[in-house]
Amino acid sequence: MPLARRLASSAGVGFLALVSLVACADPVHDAAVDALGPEAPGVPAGPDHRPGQPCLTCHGGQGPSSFEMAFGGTVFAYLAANQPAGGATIHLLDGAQHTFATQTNCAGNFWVPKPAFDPTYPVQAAVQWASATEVMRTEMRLNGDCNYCHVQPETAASPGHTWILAPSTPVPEVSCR
Amino acid sequence: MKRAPFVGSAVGHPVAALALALALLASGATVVACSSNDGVGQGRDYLGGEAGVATCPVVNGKCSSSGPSYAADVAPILAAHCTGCHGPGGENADVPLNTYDAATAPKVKIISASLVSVCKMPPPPLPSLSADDIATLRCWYAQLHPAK
Repeated sequence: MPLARRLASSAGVGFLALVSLVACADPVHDAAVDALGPEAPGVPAGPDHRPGQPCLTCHGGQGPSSFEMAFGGTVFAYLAANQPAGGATIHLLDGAQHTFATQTNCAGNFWVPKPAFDPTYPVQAAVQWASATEVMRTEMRLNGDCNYCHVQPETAASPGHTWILAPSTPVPEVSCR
Repeated sequence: MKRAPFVGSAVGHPVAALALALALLASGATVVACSSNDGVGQGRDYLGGEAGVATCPVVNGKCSSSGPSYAADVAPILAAHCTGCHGPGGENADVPLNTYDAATAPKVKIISASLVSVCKMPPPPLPSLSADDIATLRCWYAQLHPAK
């Protein structure tokens, strides 16, 4: 093989290999995914998995899941317990006055696929569960990863997981899927 | 023997060729990992959603002389849209709207109708009241002695 062709062939292959390695390597994102740990026993990967964990770590467009969400999170009944608020309604309003409403499943999880609602930030949010209502006091300015900020337990750095009922309020009978 | 440049010799050099092959394998594996399709949330079990645009209904028209009644007309609206916050256990329980006396307190009477009319209440992103509901509350609060 002439020298020029060998050079081009080797350099091209090497370049492609290098680009592939660099393009897929994000150690910060990889570490965030690893920090989520394994699936809970008995709960396979799916709509009911990982309640309370930051959904967009995997579903935010960087992988490992190819299913991209604009919003994702979990609603719990109470601040001090992990009982899910299944069948709660999430109301969203973006900076362009577009609204979107969806519901939690029986695990308390909800998500909005990116094609369904690609918002203009900032975004306001509220939750309703039967007659109980909570309006988020601040706005979302960065992304729709609710559980990224709403980390249990409540501390100076986190408002705690998303909850809807005051401690003495009984859990309503609301159907969920 | 002609000495070829290092890069150019990679194809012919066995060690370099092995290194290239390993790099190719690694890049291929990485590409697969980055684009994994684990099937999570692939539309199945998605509960769907309702998209819309936030608007505030324009309410005109006169109030009837008899006016709405609290029990039949106003209480259901307040229960559906207001007492979640403005009731026991709500975050605005200090301004209750869950009883006739609470809803007709002087301060509430002054403020409520105006806030509802311009869709400041319920606060966004909660859906605003319908034109009929706004008209009902406006007319009820406009009465000198709101009918029970």
